[in-house]
Amino acid sequence: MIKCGKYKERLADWHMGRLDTAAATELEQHLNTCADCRDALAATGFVLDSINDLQDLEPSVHVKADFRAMLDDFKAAEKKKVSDSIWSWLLQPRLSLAYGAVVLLCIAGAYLLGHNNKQGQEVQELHAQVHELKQKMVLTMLDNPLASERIKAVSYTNDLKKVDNRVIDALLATLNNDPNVNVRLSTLEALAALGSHPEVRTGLIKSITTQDSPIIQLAIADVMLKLQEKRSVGSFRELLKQKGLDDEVKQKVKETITKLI
Amino acid sequence: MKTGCLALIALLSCSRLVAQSDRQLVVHLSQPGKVFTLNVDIGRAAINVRGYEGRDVIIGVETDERNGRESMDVTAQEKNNEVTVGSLSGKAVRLDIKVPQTAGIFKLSSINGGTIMVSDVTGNLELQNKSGGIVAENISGSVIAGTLSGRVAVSFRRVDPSAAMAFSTLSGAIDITFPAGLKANLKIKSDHGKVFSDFDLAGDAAHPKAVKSEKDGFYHLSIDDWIFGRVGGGGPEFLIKNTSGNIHIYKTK
Repeated sequence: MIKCGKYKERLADWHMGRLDTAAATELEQHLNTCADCRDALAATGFVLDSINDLQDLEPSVHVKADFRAMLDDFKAAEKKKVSDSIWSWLLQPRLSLAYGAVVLLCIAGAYLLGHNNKQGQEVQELHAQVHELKQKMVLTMLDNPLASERIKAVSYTNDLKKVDNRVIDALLATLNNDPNVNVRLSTLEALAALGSHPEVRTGLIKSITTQDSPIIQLAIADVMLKLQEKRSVGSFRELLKQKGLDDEVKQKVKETITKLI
Repeated sequence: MKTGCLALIALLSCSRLVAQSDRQLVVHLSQPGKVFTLNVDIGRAAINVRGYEGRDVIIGVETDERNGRESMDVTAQEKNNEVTVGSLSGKAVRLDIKVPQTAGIFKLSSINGGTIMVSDVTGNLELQNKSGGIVAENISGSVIAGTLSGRVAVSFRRVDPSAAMAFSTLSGAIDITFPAGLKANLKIKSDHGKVFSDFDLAGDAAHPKAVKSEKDGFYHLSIDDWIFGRVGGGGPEFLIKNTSGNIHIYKTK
């Protein structure tokens, strides 16, 4: 056994091919005669290979599950082996190496789980960054001098899963100030789709009296009906007081008020 | 010949020469062959813009017969290939503008001077009228056209595949002709008219026609009266909307 100690120290180096030829030959000759050292070599090789493999694994839920299962099997196997005598288990150098292997695997497991969480976080961060970029692109394009680009920016908001207040404010500003009626019309429709945001509803209600184009006034009445926004009635009554209001708009606004109250 | 005082004023910031006949302004572009911009914003103008095989922007100005005796003025300014045509007096005019067939950006707007017409041009068109129709023919590029009273008729020779477009009128028909290979997401609504299309409008799963919802025991059934249709697998959004009058989407034969 004393002799074995010398060889066991070299098992890892042999496994990784770091021994010179003479030492390797000596160890190999010993391995041919010593079952204990062969077992120890197998355990060492397993640990080293596992660690090597871990670096190349694509961490996934399955890997995590497989790894845990493997760890449990390993623990169970070892537990069965030592169940005869706790003392013999503690005193056996082979098992102490295996114990060390379990500790190593636990560390590696913790690393893997941590890495997995970290990657999950990175994916989330990446999603957030892409979302932020999309929103920034919308905000930038809304300032484009070409109406076509501004309409495209407005249509992009349909693809955004969430919009923050900056985008809502920019859309409302476009609805109220854009010089092109068609840009305002397409913005109104995009805002109607965001009707679940209270800020959008408030903004739309405020916008009713500021719109001067009959086509927008009619469309905004449709949107308020669709959203069943009863708070818009006051603004529509204000609109009715405006001089020179288009006859068709007057009619539509009156109908809208009746349907809403 | 109509008598009266006709003043054509050309303001050219880069001191370029302006050949000028009685009723014509010839504006040299500072970078001929490059993308140019034509801005026309005159309240009472019938505007007719045509592409021609030349390098200059030629602006012909006519007055209405009834206003023949009145004075009028039209100004044109060129800066960095951007030509801006305006009027100091705001009197009614008819503009006949010839532009190069190279790509341009056209921003033409009028209130009640008549129809805005554009033909045989390439580029990005923004046409806004109030009381008067909009006609654009043989266009290569994209069009945003809106009026309140009048027909909107646009036909494309080629469509800019990345540009969003919009066509709207309050009272009037909308007739648009696209080439067969069109790829777009159409969003169409006519309040009192009918919608006809030569193109197959593939339904959009995100926009079912009838929407049923239930919240706190309150059941709501709404029909989304916008027609959503993907053409050629989908592309940029084209919004088409009027209140009265039919909407026709034609495919180039």
